[in-house]
Amino acid sequence: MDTSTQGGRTRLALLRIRMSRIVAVAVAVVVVLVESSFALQGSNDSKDETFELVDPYTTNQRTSLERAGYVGFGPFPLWDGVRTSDVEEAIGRKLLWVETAHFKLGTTLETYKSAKGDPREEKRSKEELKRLEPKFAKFKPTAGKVDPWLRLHLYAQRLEEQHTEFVKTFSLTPEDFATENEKVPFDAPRGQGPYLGQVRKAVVLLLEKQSHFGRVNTRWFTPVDHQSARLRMPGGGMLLITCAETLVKWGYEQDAALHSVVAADVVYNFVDGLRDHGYWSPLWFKTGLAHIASRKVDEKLAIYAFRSVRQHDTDAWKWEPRVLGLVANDYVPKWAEMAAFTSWDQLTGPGHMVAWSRVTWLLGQRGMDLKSWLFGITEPFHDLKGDARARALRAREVEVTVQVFAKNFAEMDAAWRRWVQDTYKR
Amino acid sequence: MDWSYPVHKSAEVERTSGTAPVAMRRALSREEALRSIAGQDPRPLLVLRECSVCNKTDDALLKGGSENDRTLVLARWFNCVKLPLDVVDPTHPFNALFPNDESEHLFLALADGSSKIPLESDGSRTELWTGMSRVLELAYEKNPAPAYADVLKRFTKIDILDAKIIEEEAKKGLEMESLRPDRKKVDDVERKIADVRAQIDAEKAAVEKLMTLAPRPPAVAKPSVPAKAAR
Repeated sequence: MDTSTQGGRTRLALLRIRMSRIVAVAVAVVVVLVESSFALQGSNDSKDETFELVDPYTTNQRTSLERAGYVGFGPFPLWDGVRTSDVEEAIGRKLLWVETAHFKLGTTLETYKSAKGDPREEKRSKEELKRLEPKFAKFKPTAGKVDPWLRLHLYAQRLEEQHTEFVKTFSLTPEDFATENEKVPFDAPRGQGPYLGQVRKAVVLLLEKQSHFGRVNTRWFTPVDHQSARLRMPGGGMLLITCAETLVKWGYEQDAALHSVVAADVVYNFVDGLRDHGYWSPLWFKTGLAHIASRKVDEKLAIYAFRSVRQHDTDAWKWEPRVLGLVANDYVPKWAEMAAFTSWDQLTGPGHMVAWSRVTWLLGQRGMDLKSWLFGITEPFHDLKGDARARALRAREVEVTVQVFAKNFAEMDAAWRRWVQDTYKR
Repeated sequence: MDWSYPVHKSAEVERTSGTAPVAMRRALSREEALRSIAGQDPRPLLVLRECSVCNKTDDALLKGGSENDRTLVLARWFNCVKLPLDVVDPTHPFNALFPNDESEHLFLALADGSSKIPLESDGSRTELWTGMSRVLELAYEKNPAPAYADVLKRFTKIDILDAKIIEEEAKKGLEMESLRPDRKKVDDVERKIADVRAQIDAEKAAVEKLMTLAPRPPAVAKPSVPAKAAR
């Protein structure tokens, strides 16, 4: 079997993703069949790494924490009835924790050794460490090695930077949301709290092993066979749980792969959690926005757009000429068709690229009230359920698109196509 | 391997200080632990404890080489459970299953824990397959082990068909993105894709039939198996 790689993914891994589950039921026996492929070998370095108890970068000093912009390293509550210690007990090992201005982050990520001679990774790493350095009085990381505490600090920085960018992109202000401890009705237009309209800071768990991931999901949520789980936490706020080992088994060993997946998932959670509206935002929009975030980490690593990958084509990640071709040949879903997408199956390879391109174009519209548009497409409609809610949101999307961009869907489509033809080059 | 990662939900008691209740961790009896890890799944159990040697791998079950296929297919008829490194801690809820570092690395058993076959990770494949086959024979009306070759053949075919779809979709994409697309070619590729998808569905249905088994009623199950495979 061909196990050639492209963009870090092996064909075997692609097949693994594509294999659907077969569930056979007979006289109360349920046999669950999973991927028909074969396990990959794990790292030779098999022992769980022992984390240093005290962060070597801040030495846990209050002044150092403040300088880094941290609230603390825990313990702290995460969601209703669950604290950091509960997660540690479920997983069976110590996590490193940090609370920042907008996130509560926990990790079991172990020391990462950078790939030698990869100029992209070296450049990215250098830039990130340069931005991180001023946050610490003492900052001398070992070259080519990112220890668990440094990974925690890097991810804390990445998360906060993404939050800043999201807020800036949509011109969000604290006044757009309810304040801390403000008593508001459940369907208040400004949401329930100050964290993008949620009462709680977003929780992000970055887990080294599949067993860590499996235990957290089994203990509090539903077991999933993906590498990430995005959930609304009991009591409000959004949770992201991601597993590094699964990505490694898919052929993505670089930290950039994990970073790009986290970047995409965090964006999904920003949109899905906004004002606690509950996942109802348009699939094409949040997916396009997520691809922008992933590709900002590394253009070759929009992992959730795996259907856009082409074997043996090292240029498949260059989406602009591909979208240009699709537009020229009219092989793209119309704006209205894409707005009606509700499942991942509808987002084909071209669909992912088109969603990315449309959101890129949309965000580039000068002088447009993107906040009103974002709030419009994420209207909570708490009093509606199921199809009625979906219909109300679709109608709201049509309405708010006209209000903000002065165009209906057909006109949006035509304007975007013109932009693609004027901007993208073969 | 499709592992499940059971976590026992401890009873909560009021915290004597602070504001939130705290969970008390205590070891369950063997029966309670088995009930907790098996849940509602009637399949026989394959229970593995992680250790510092095989941690982060499936090395305890899978060795290098293609003969892992047999293990992987047979494992589909088991409820495969992975327990953490600290299960040997006397306060861990599932400690009764692996009381200390001297405990076996994994065991096979019926869902209620009977007919247990302890195994070590450095045991031979023959030992492992013999043990799996014995437990399957006790668990199901018909021993599924001999069907593994047919199941594997069909899985391989599904993999090949999936690869074919990827290939055809790539061809379609290239055509759709090209300067002068040949619409007839795109239509042909779409027909091929539809045909391959139909073949995949047929193979999956055949696999489903092979994998669907009736359990042996509990009363008929033999009480124990000589632990020949035990080390």
